Amino acid sequence: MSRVILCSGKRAVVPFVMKASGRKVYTVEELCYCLRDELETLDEKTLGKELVEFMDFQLGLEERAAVLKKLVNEQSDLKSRLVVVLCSSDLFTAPEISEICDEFERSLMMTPLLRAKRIADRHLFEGRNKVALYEYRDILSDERIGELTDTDLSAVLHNCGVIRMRLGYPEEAASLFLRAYAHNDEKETVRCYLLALKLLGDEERYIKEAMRLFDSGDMLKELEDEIDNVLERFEHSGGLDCVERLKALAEDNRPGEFDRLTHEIIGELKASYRSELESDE
Amino acid sequence: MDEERTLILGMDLCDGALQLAYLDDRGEMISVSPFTNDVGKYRIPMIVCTDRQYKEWYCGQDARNMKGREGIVYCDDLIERAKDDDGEPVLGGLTPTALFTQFFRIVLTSLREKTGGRMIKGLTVCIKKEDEAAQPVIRAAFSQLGIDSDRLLIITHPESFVNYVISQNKDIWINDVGLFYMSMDALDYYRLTFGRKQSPVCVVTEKTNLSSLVTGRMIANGDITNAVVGFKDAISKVLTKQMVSALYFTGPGFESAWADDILKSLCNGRRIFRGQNLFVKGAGFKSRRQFSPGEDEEDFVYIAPDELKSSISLRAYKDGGYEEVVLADISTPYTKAGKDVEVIMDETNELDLIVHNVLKKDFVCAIMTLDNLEERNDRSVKVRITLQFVDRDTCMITVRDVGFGEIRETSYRIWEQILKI
Repeated sequence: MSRVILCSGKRAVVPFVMKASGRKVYTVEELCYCLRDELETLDEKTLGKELVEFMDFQLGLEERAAVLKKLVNEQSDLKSRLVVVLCSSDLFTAPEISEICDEFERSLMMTPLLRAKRIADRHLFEGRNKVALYEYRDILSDERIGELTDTDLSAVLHNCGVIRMRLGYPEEAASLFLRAYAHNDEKETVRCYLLALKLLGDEERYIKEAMRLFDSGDMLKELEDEIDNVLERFEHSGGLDCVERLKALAEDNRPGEFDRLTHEIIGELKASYRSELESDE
Repeated sequence: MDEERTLILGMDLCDGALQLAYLDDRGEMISVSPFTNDVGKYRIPMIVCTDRQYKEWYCGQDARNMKGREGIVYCDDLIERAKDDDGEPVLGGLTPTALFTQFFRIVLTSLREKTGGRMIKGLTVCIKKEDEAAQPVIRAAFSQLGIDSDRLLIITHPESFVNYVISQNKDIWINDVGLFYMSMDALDYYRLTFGRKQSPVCVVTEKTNLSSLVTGRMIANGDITNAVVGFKDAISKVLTKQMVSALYFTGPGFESAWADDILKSLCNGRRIFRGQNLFVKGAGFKSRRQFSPGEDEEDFVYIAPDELKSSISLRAYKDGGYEEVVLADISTPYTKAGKDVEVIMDETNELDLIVHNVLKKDFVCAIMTLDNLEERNDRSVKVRITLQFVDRDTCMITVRDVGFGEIRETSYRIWEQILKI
């Protein structure tokens, strides 16, 4: 149901930083939003004294902060603390708060590895690829790896493969996708594996694996069509303009301009790559 | 101590003169001068003078009579001096505030003698709107005399007029009531309209400046013919097709009877009053309501000419339910009315604004649509609503997309709407 929700409290001068995502929170509505969004990452530290001080001194919600402080001092359960915070704003209705708390309780019953996977999934979802990759690698090297179900383990491996593809390592990505496929029979994983092989340029292996893994030739054709569409879109978008220009300069035997353009393109690619890596960090 | 304080007093400081009125034993508001028993001579010039040794002080007409005498130092324009009080002495080593204190001391001492030693229980001072800057000095002056805010109220002429009218028989204000105030340099018309559809009754004051048509200076210069023409135009301008049950005429411009023929022509279906002690009596009635209210005293809400006569609220979800969140309240000066609120637009791009006019029974709902507002279903679309008033009847509503912290960036969109209230 649509609503116009009145915002309350002050805007903080010093933000509260969410531990898992690093997001800075300035208002009580943002706080409730982030707590809901990062439910599986909430712990004693997040719902502790620092939050009490933030609500009291920064948001001006003295009464709420006093209630939360009492719960923190009494070492009461996290669910009660979460309720106090969520009730500080009108972002969620009472039934929604109840649902959120039930979900929170279920997440508290998750194993540590599963929680770690959820945190890594969030990093990946928000584009922090490198951070997500480190988290996933920690999970894969954890001695309790056997606690994960096949589905979850496969998801971890698949996501690692996605990240490696994004970072420009299709060989390693292909290997990860294959490992993931060993624990599930997800078509998406197969698709990603074959795309990785295509990017490697190993056409023979690509065809061989496609025939092995796809039930029918139709699916391979579908994949090929998709690749063609992407390439066509890329060509029409002008992404290959610089390559065409280089070709023309080479054919016209203009080495000076050719070198200059080459350096320009390389510089742009380096800058773009560096900024992507920095955003991952 | 309170038992000794029985005097309910009104005071008018205007046009260089002070007037007093008090509530007598019969419950009537009586204009009085502590310096004379002559009926009708109750205006006390706001003048003080003293001898060079600052031993004998005089005020009012006595001071005026001593002007120009040898050995006398003289000070008038007390209110103007008070507005410009910078702490520097102006007479006898006294600052304007101290002079005011001295003036009031003489007047009130004489009044006390005249009223048989009665002490002041409550005093309301009324001043012109243009003299509001003198308020702090007036308060400071009375504070020096031991009359602090628990016994002192300062109001402006329009509010005094309202108190005068509502203290009269209800026949007088069965419809709108009008007041023509003519000073040397201005003619203002105040119209009182009564919002009887709610409780307490709201009295809305409208002011119209008619100075371009006639002023007191024309009368003082003897230009009666043009004054009559101008005055007739003024009356036509503000009274045509208006349901006015009573009209009052006051101010220096109406001291003489130059307009009596015109006033007689207005008597059809109306009560007409001309006099010079309307404001001081109104101040006295305000004193009574404030400091010695009767058991069945009816409450009124006074809305000044520059204050809002409509409230604007936003229907919003707050504290678990829907509420009308007041964005601008009635009886607030329009220059200071309006505030900022922030709301989250949850699957809607419409703001429901509710306008309550005190003169009307029903409210009006205005919907403001935020076209092209970003559609998201995660409750991260936050906007700031700002109200600003161009005048008491015109509100400019500005809505800005402010983003949602690090979760959603602002789109920098702004929407504006003008609301006539």
